[in-house]
Amino acid sequence: MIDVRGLGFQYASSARQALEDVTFSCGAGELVLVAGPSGGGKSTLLRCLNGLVPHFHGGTFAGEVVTGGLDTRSHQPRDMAGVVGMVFQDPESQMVAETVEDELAFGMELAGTEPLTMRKRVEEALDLLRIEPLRARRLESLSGGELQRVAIAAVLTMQPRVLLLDEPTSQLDPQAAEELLTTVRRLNDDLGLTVLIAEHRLERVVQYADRLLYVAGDGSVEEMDVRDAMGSLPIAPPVARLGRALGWSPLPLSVREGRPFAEAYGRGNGNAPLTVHSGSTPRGKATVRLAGVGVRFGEIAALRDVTLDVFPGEITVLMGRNGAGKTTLLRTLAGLTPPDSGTVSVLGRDVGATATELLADDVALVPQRPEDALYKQTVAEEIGETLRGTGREGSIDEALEEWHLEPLRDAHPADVSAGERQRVALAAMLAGRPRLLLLDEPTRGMDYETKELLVANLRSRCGEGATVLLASHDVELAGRCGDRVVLLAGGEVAVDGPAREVLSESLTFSTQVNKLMGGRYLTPEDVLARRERLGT
Amino acid sequence: MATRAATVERTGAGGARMTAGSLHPGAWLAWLAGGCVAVFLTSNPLYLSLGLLAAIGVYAAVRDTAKGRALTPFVALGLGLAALSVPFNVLTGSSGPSLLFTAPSLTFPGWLGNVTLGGPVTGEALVTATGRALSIAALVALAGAFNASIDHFRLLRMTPRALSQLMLSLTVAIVVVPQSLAQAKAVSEAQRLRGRRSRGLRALPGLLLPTLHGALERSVQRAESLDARGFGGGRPDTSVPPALAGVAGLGLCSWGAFGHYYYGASWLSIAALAAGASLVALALLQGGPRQTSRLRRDVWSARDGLVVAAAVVSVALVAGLRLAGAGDAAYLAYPDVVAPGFHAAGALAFVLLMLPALLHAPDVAGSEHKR
Amino acid sequence: MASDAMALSDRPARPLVAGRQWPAAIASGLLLTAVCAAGVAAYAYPFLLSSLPATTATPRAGDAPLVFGLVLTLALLLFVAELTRAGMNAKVVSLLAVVTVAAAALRVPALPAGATGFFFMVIVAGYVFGPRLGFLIGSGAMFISAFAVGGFGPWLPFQVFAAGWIGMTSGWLGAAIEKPLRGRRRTELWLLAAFAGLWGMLFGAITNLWFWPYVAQGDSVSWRPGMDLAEAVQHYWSFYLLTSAGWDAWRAIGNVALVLVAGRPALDLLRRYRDRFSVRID
Repeated sequence: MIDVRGLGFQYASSARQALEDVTFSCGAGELVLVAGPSGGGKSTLLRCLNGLVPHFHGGTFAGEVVTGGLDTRSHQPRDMAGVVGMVFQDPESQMVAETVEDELAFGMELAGTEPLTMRKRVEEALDLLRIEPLRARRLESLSGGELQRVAIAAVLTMQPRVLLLDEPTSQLDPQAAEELLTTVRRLNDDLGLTVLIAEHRLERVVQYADRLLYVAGDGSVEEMDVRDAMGSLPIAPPVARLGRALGWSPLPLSVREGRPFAEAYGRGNGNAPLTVHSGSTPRGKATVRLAGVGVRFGEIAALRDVTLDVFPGEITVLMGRNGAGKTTLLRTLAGLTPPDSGTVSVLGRDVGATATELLADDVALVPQRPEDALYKQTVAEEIGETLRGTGREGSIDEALEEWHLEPLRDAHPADVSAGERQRVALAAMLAGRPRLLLLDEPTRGMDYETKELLVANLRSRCGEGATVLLASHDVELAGRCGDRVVLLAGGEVAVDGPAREVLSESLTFSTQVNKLMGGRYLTPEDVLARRERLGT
Repeated sequence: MATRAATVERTGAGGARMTAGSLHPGAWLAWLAGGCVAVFLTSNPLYLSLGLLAAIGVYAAVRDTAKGRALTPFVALGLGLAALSVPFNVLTGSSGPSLLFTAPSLTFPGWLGNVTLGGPVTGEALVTATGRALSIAALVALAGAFNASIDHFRLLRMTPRALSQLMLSLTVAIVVVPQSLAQAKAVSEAQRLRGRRSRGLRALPGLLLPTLHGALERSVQRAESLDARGFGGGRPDTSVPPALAGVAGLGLCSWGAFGHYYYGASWLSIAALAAGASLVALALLQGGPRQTSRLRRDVWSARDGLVVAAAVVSVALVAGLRLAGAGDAAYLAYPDVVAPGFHAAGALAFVLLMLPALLHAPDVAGSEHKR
Repeated sequence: MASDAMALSDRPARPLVAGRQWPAAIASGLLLTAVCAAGVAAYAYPFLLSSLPATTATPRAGDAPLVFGLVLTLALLLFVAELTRAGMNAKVVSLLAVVTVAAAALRVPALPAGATGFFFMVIVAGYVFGPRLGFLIGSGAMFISAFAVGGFGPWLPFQVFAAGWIGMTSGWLGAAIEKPLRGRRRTELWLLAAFAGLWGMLFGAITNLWFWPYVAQGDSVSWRPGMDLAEAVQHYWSFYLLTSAGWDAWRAIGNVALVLVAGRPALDLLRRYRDRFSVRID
């Protein structure tokens, strides 16, 4: 289905080869994962397969790519639209029509398809992606997850044989991301569609993948067996990392596969494992105090009577469904959404009476989309803007170093890769050691290395006495770094307790390792630490 | 927040889109054109008053949508300006025998053309100015009703083949609006979070450029998506006949237009105008990149036919009165102000324009979808 | 590997208007000329008609704005169709959408200097992207914004065409001075500001023209068929000064100020994008 021989590509604006001498092939009906560090060339590789590289982007192209019998050197992307469909990262910027149906029909209309055939295919695509109820909706009224499913449906109406997905979940919240990945797997299963997917969220797909293409970032692409790859690459999901550390073979890729090993190892042992980080330092005076806080948007109560104290030196994770009020709570603390009732005090200041610009001296909020935070010409200027505006102490170099951005100092924030941009946004918003750090869903679409860096930096900020409050759906992140978990439901605080208690023995809010090993284990490191202590 | 109620469409047999209630945009367009032509063709204040009433009636009938309410200030402004044109015209120079009163006058210097403001105010000038104000107000109300009632997307879908690509771009442009507003809000918040203290107008350039930048970045991805979904613009269209038809059509039109004033209104010049317009339409329908197809077509209902027929009849009636010199369609207050004549056909012409007010039914309001 | 290397420039696969065979090129040239002639005639009809002998008994040309509005609409449609006839690639479609909506959005808010942002955007975009895209951006933005401000009426074709001219002439200005003034950015900015100020006045003067015979009736400001050209110009001048000059001057000042304040970063932004995207199409 896909034959790549000796592929090389260099962007016109770049000094180094993005891809060099890449050779691989994919059979019909395969599900292939494309993995690798961000900015490493995953997107470029996928774009080579439907001719966007070189025809759209321009640059120096070498070798041969044949997809579905069409050679990309002699066929433009538009000629390949009937063979290869591609779905991109940002759901909003793929849309060109005003309603779901029109969006689905767009490609067929361009191709001059018969109206009756069009009708049939639109119905099929609506059913396949289970978006029939949305058919007459305007696109601007859909959520990100719904939009991505519309994007896939729109591509499927062209009846392609190959589906390329370029980090399709990077802008989605975890629930929507999981649904999307489940859908993709089903399409691969039911239709025999060849699927190549670049994805960071491996837990959901890795067990179904036939193969993995590792795009290392130096131009090379390595074709790997999935189990081998999980045995050697840092991107493995927690179950695989645990299995690797404990020498389980064949390496389990899902909780189900790991269960027999866990039973043999002794599931549920160790109710109080030695923690990797200690969340038990004595609490200081609360830095954030909410008393009876309520926020309403018209008819909807986003927060109801929330009373909560947050303490310095620990990481508090806000969890809960979409619309539970997590984002509203963070915005209220930063002064962006004034409370309708109750009192909010942050670091001794009354938030209702203080402008966001003034609060910014001590309070930093990192919004969900890094693009939303950035607006200057270079990375260094982005950091400088915050330091200048807030009067916080600190230097640009310090922030660059903290987030490993030294090589990008003079780069334009729009020119760096998605993972790098997340680091830039973190560096810019958190520059100059604010005393309260608010992070809204910081790990959305984040790659493995960035996540590690984030956890390490948040820990060290906490160690310096800062207060960290982060809203996240990411259970693994909460397990890795959370000291305390506050679960919001319907705008109210439903559960509030130490992370280890809240995140264990729960059906939906448990980490993978906890589902596997039970007890109070949250991460592979917990299991290993206990094993070390027991000396086995 | 959705700015207007989502249109709930029902799917009928044969894939027809039956938007409950609203008229076909083509019918609205014909109504607007017919209304404007009829208003331009007469200067009789009696007919024009009827026209204004009809237009306001339709506007009032269709106004009750989010969009209609948003337009209300613009329509009010337009009506206000129309009213202001009366004192402007009366004061910049009145002539005629029926002196009403004499206002204090002021003469501007030579470089202003020795214009005299004020001075004698005559009945002839007042009647003429009122007639013109009435017609301007009628045009504003016609436009207001049209703008409040049409769906941009449905209107853009009607464009001829030769303009399809540009119209795709304009469709995308409308799609981009809510995204850009959200982006502007996000940028403004990020600036506040980073301690930037300027607000309001002074912050505008600082807000505009990052928003534009974000939109441009996203447009790269949209272009990729367009390309990957088969948008290629087709083969370069180098056919000669459409271009020549365009040249010929435009030539005929211009000749007809100038002939109309040079030799006086005649059937010949009107025929030349019509023939030229048809040729241009042909060129636009035939030219263009590539045949595409449509998932759905807007359904043309009997009501739409009625509205178009009413527009045509109303133009025909006014034009007929004018050509026949009956009913004072081309009323002049000079040399002596006299009461304008009145003919039932002229009245009927403008009453017919009320039709959409009766036939229009608001779209079945869907729940306002909210992200 | 090097032998089969395929170098593709960053340019779009096909320019907006491809090289044509000569009959097509002549037909296209003929069409554009006809459009220009008809367009100018449709705006300037009060002056053109005034030079004709008043042989007819036309008491007043109340329907003239209508007839010339029709001519102008047809000319406009043909012009736009011709500009986009060879097919626009996806980059142009997408870019056009974004810049158009930016300009259109700026026409809506009641800024103190009379929607001066619209002029700023169209002028800067035309300057950077060239006359063809400039025309499409200006006219498209005027058209789109008409939906929002209730501007869909008989005056629309006149406004749309004039807005297109703003973009087109800015494109000419860019073609003329952008290269020679490279490195002399202050001069460039002042020239652009002056140009924006000029259009601030000119736009009102042009778009009021079509309505003038219909609206004005006073002795020294009105139009009569058969009046002599010099007199027509004099009357229009008075009419313009009395009705719209003050407003236009305010707008012109706003344009100049906005170009001086935001012109440089805006030019940088669009140029950066043009160079990365290679969407200059002339």
